Amino acid sequence: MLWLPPTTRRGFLGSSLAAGLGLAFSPGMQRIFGAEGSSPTAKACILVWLNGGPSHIDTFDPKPGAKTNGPFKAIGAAAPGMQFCEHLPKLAEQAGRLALIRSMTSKEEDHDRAYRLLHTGSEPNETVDMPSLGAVLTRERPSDGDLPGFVSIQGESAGAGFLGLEYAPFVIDDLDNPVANIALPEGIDLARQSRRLRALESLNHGFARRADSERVADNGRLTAKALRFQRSPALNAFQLGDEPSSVLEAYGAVGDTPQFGKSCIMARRLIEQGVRFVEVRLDGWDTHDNNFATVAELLGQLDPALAALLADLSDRGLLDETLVVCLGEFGRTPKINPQNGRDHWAHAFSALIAGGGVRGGQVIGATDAEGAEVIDRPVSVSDLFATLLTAKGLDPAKQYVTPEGRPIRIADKGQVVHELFR
Amino acid sequence: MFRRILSASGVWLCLANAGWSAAPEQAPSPAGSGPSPPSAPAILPAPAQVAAQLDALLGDVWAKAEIAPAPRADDATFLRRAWLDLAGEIPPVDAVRAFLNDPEPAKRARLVDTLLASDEFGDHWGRVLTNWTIERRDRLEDGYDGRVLHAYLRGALQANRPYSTVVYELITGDGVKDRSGPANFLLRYDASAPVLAGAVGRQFLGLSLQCAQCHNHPFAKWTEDDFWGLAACFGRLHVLEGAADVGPLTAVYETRRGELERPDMKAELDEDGERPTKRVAPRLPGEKTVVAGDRREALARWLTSADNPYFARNAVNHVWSQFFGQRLANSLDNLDAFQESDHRVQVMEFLSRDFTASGCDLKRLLRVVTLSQAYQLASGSGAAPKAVATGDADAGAARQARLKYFAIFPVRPLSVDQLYQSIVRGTGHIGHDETPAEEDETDPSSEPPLAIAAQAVHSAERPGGKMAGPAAMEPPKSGKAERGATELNQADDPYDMPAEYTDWSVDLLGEQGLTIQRTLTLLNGAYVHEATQAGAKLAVAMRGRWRPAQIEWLFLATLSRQPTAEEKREMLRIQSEGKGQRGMEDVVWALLNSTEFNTNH
Repeated sequence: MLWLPPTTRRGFLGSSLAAGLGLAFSPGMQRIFGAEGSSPTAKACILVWLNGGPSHIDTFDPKPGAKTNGPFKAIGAAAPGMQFCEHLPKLAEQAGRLALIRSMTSKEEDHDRAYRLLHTGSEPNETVDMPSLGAVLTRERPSDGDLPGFVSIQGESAGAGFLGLEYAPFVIDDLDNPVANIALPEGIDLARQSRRLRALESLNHGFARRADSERVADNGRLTAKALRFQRSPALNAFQLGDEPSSVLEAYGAVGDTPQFGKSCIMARRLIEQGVRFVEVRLDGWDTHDNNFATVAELLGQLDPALAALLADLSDRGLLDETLVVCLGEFGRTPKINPQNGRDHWAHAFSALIAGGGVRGGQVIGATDAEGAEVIDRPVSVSDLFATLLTAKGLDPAKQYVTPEGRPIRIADKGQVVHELFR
Repeated sequence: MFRRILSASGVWLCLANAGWSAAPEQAPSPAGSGPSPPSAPAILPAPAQVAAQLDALLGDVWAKAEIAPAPRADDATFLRRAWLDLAGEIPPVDAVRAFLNDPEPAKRARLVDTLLASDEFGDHWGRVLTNWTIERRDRLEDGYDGRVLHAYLRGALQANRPYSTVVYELITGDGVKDRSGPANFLLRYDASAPVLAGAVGRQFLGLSLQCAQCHNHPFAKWTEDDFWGLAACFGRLHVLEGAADVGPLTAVYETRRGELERPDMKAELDEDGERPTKRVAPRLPGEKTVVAGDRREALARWLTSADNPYFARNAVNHVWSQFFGQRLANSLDNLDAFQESDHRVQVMEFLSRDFTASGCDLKRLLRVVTLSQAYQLASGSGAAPKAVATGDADAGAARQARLKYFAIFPVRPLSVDQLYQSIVRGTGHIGHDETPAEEDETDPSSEPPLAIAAQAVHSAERPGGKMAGPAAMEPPKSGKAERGATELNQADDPYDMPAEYTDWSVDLLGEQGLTIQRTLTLLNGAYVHEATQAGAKLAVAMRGRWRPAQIEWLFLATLSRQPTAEEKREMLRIQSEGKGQRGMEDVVWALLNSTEFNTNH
């Protein structure tokens, strides 16, 4: 209905078609998957972002007996060799579905910079505005429904950088009123809106002739998207009203702190509607003081929600095609400071990965007896990003070209963590 | 002559690589403090002359690249563009009329002068400079009040104080966070030495100095020691937290003793697993000797020195991207990538040279750019409409090539502030209850708001001074105190901020750029809906019941031009379908949602 000029938008790659075809035959991909015959299956991704940098020792990498361990006990998980903090009992039951990387390591201990690093795969720098993983995945695998491809719940995630606003996250701040300005203004019915759109189309048509048809086309696409969105039955995915109370309870979406559980339910509902990347956020992990009480409280929210999310996705047959990743900016110091807190520590931290063809029940890498340094199978952030791109069936070696003409790889020279998939 | 500039730039590069501090010593100012006065240039060419030289430079570039520039933008287009870029909003209807009817050939230059002298310029560029210096909006958020810095920068812009002096003051300032622009700047970075060192490099030199915090910088020749030596210049800064019961009185001050300590990465961890630290002496990059005397002054003098080419380049780079939507260099780090043959580098070096020679006169730089041919080109190719409308690939490629060489004007989305101010300007609707204080004094409260709004939109341009009408007509700014630039002129306290958070443009239109969320806000949002109704009423108030006159007025108020005959016909048809006022609202809605309205072109 909106006027769009028949011009094709120029891609970032000179020959995106060739690049797309090349993907299937990339030697790297063949080496990884060709022989086994197994292949990554993820169509979508849910990032569970633990904002502030969770203590790895008090969550996924307990050190029972070490003086750095603090008061929490370790409990066994439903997978050999895997132990969790005692406040993660439900997640421990789901251990067969998840892989744990205990050897994440980076050098970035500043919140903002580490946030950017873990969202984009690169150290932030002045030269290139790197896109977040969500933006990359949305660009490579556009949403096939009416909803935006990239949704971030209760956190801004990170933007689309040089890929452009088209791939920026749709940010939901208020869970009870997730999508604003969907309803037509008072007194405007569909007939009147369609008249307005006709007037708009006529104005834009003239402007496209005089000034910049491409810009008008961009805006037109955005308007068309917004209209499709606003009229879509898929919008129901944002409303949790029809979820049975048993589901709300399972996710911990009841009581005083229901937000995180609700976010996870919404994430599942969005994935069901074809959204490609959902980020949910659990905030409060920057525990410079009073670490243990705070972490115990946060785990009380994380444990039911994440465990229920994995089980729920699995029950609905979605886990195989949905990659679930859970981590934060960095880990925290083994040393417990005088305020009974732990400070920033990027030398070693943990990442939890499930679904999307990842073989669950395995631990990758290890830290030393005190949880200070990685002693086995270090995994850099670039490695992690190469792995996540691969899990989505993308070639981590693919080069993007910035608007300035600079070639860039999302995962730099990161190496895929093969064992995750076998 | 350009050959000479380029070879001079070559020298700069060498100097930079060697650490340009080999440059002549700065004469300390009499009191041993304060910025070194910008060297008073003997004779500066007029801005128009410099613009003509820039035109010649780009003309050569276009000829060599075999690119035909777009035609010159018409007066209406230039007027709207200059208003948006210099004043941050679209022009009022009377200003459009007056400009279009003005037969004076030099009217574009005169318009630029008028705009540069306006309060709106201080507000808008104060905001631009705030973003540039602290990477944040000028609002109260998380206990930090960026509006304080905005007020300071606005004052500096209105007085046209040299940019180098302003930066000098920011670096060397102290005092209470909410009472001093410089203290506010330092505390934005927590007055932390390494954080400030990174910020100074990034915001004022365009260099990723902070990378040298942990390792020697791969591009520019910054070493780890350079970084820490520079950081140590801030090593004696301390933050004084005010007691809660006396209100927020966070201040920054400098002690006379003490040295910065940095983690010693080579030392073994001690028993507690802590990393030992070592002392760092203040030292300017490339210098061997430790700074004697006031270290922040030494740093500020070095930073803003005419011999530091990065300082001017960075300013030119920022200013250029503000007008053209793309930087001349994405980062100044990569000196090796500085191709002298690259037209962007040529433009940067040319403008930097004039900027430095003028003693960092920011308004002069803006004048030069806005008077240049490149800035005054049309955003349309001037090709036969048919060829453009079919949008064939060749036309697209030609446009890209022209954009690259600044041979066509780019169409850029309005910033959230420009968009909000323009909706206010076009419809008279401010979207919140705030009543300007001055209104009560000048007028009985019986004055209907609509008439006031109408007057605001109607207010005539007055040469050489304020353009908006009475202060009551000032569109609200994102901070209440900023509303009355007149207040500032009347020597009221520029730092007298309202205690509450105010950021109307973001509140009403959202923080996101032109995304699906912003689009929904424009299509269906309450504020735009109300503005649509207000705009239709305003058209009646201004032009009576004659519909064609209303349409014409609405085009002037929102798009700053007359409708074409076809547009007039089409909009009248739409209007009549909707019957009366409602039909006119539909027309206003379409205008506000049009790409022509929500872009600068």
